Amino acid sequence: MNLPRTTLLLKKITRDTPLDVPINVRCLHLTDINLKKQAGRYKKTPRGDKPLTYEMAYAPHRIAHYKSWNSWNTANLLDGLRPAETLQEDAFIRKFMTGTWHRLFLSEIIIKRQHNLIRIAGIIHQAIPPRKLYFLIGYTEELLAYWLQCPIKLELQTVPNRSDVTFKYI
Amino acid sequence: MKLKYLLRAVQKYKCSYKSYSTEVEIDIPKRIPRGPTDILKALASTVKRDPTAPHYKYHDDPYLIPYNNFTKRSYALSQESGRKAARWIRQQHKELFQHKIAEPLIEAFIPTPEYNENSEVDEEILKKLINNGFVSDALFVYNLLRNKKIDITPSTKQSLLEFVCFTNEDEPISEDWISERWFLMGMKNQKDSNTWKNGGLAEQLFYELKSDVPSSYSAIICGMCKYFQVSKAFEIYSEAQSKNIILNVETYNSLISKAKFVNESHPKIWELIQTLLNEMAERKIKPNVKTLNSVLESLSKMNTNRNAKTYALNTIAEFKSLNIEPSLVSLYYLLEICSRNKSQLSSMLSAILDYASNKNFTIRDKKDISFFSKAMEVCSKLKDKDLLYRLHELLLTGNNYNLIGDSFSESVYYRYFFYLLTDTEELSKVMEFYDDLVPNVYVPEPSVTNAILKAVCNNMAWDLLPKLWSDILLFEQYEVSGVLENILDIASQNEDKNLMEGMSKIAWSAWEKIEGIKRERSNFQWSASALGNIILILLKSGEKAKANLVMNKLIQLGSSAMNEPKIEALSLYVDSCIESSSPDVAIKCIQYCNDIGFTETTEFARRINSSIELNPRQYEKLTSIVGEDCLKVEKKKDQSR
Repeated sequence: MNLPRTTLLLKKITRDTPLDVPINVRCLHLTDINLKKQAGRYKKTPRGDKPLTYEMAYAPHRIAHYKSWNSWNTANLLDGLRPAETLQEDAFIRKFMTGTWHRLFLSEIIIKRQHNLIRIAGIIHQAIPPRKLYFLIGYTEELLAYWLQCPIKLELQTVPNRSDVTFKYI
Repeated sequence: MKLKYLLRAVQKYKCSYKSYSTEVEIDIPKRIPRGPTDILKALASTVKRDPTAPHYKYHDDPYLIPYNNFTKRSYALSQESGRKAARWIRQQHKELFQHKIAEPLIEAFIPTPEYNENSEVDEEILKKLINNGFVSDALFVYNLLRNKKIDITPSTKQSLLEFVCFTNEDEPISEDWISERWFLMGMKNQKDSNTWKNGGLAEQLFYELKSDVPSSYSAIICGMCKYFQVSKAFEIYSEAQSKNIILNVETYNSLISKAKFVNESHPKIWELIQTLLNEMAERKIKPNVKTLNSVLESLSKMNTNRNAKTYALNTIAEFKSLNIEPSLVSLYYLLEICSRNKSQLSSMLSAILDYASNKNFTIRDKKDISFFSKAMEVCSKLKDKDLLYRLHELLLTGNNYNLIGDSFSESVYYRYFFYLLTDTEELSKVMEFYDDLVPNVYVPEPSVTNAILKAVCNNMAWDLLPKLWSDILLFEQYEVSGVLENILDIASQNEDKNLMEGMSKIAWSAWEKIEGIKRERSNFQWSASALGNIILILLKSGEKAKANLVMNKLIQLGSSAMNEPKIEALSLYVDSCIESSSPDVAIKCIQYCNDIGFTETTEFARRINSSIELNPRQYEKLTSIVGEDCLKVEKKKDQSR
């Protein structure tokens, strides 16, 4: 029997309550909980032609099983230092990178911290000549170093086509 | 039974216990004092440079790895220019970069203050600027202080004087720009000309200071010597002497190294050096390694003198008795001193290598970095491969590679290295080094590539050609004069049947590469011999259609192309035309042969006439080129047969 729960409840009421309760009483009204989870998940397209990277293809609960974290640091462990600042700085770095390396990053921006060193990794598109990429590397490393006042290193990999990072289509 | 066994076991145990407990003196080693970075150094010493990986200043990604000298330079400098852009942004938006995260504050991350007429300045700021080496800022602040009539203590003035003398009021390239300094070629070619700023700030400061601060004499003399205002330096020196002022050791060093500029004749120069040295001894000034180097530098300038070598060796011996070991540049000067005489040079270099082998050198003189390239040049001059191996081993000992200098002297070193190897060593060994060093450590210049190609040719090692050709493509040397011609010439001499396909691939890729370049961008011109070689190679491996294309180009260029193709190629081409019975193409070829003026033209014509049935039009054309007589003679001969 697949009736909506409200009906079930009504039936229950009619059976269990004393007869003096009128039948048209307003009872507790319940609907299903909406367990819709959206963050970090991608919607299917009707044509099924939306490219996803490996990272995008797995939902957040797969982290540490099928995929890994995007920020690596110890700020949130017991006695970790500067948890709030680290989060805010990471957000800043991601904004800075997507803006400075416009349409070049094909993967998530991975930020790894060790002591005072910040390593920023990712996969970029070979859309501009290496010379210009080197300019951007130098610029990014230096400017972020001034901003965050610690040594910054970029660890980039390049791919010739955007489709090279596609893991599946949905 | 069991008891017996147990007893034996106990005895055994006793025995072994005894042997352990014998009174052996435990020798606890003395504590070795370690520095804070010693463990890092020990760890670093376990890592050797990996020749298969690019230098660590480049990104380790196939797209971002540079493969030729041009890209090596441009990538490194691009990155540095990006860093400069970031610094510019920081300076433009100073107010945004004033936050302080690092604890303690790291000044390098904070924008540097700028000064204008209204800035509040004091002596402390000037001192700081001098310590940090900001030339123009220091000069500006100094002028500001003077205009505001703020007094400066003589000690600060003295340090400003030393600073100005050291830099000659020019802003040097900051040490932050490592790549720029690495790729700077001008350092070597710096002319020994007088660049001292006469009547500049240094001299003003000196005249203000000289009565109060005796060390101002030392500073100004050093500065003048450094920038080749030598005669004035010696004037001030004699003034200091008359006032009985004691100069420091650096001053004597710089005077000694410039002794050549005040005296013409060699004996006088040597005399001057000796008086200076004696004076140092009198005044109890202890010489250092730079004193030795200065003496040798002056001696190296007079290497035409017979006594120079004796003087030099005596000097080194004397300094050794003072416990001053020669540094690398001392050895460099020794080579310079002996450079006139080949046999002397050879014995000197081998003695130097005896002395230096397995030694770990650190930089003790700014010019130490010039030794290795010079020594390799000498090796190549002497054509002595044993010396070469010993020198190379020395370079790879410990951290000696740090003393190779800059990109220029590194490539000079490897250039002579490969010149000598290709001359004297067997090819397999050369290729071993080649595989090891190219392209990550060194990219051969066209002349070196040609030398290697020549060695390949002499050894008939055609199997190496495909690899070399792919390298040439990688280094973008195919357009450089000679390289393309050479490799095609060698490939055309190939006799190995199995390699024919590889050769034809080379020839065809060369053709496609050159034809693919836009004409406006390059001024490459086909030489007829190169085209001829391509035709020859293609025909040898049976690629007629491709050969036709190249032949068309050859005919189109006609006599405007440089030199002439091999007759062998044309003959083979005519044969192939006969084989495929295409007389029109063959006649075109003969027309070309005639235009160029080959004597074999008539022979080709006869060959065609005798082996292919020509229609009247073709026959007419052929006769118009070589004349009817030749063909007729041939016919008659045939008939008589």
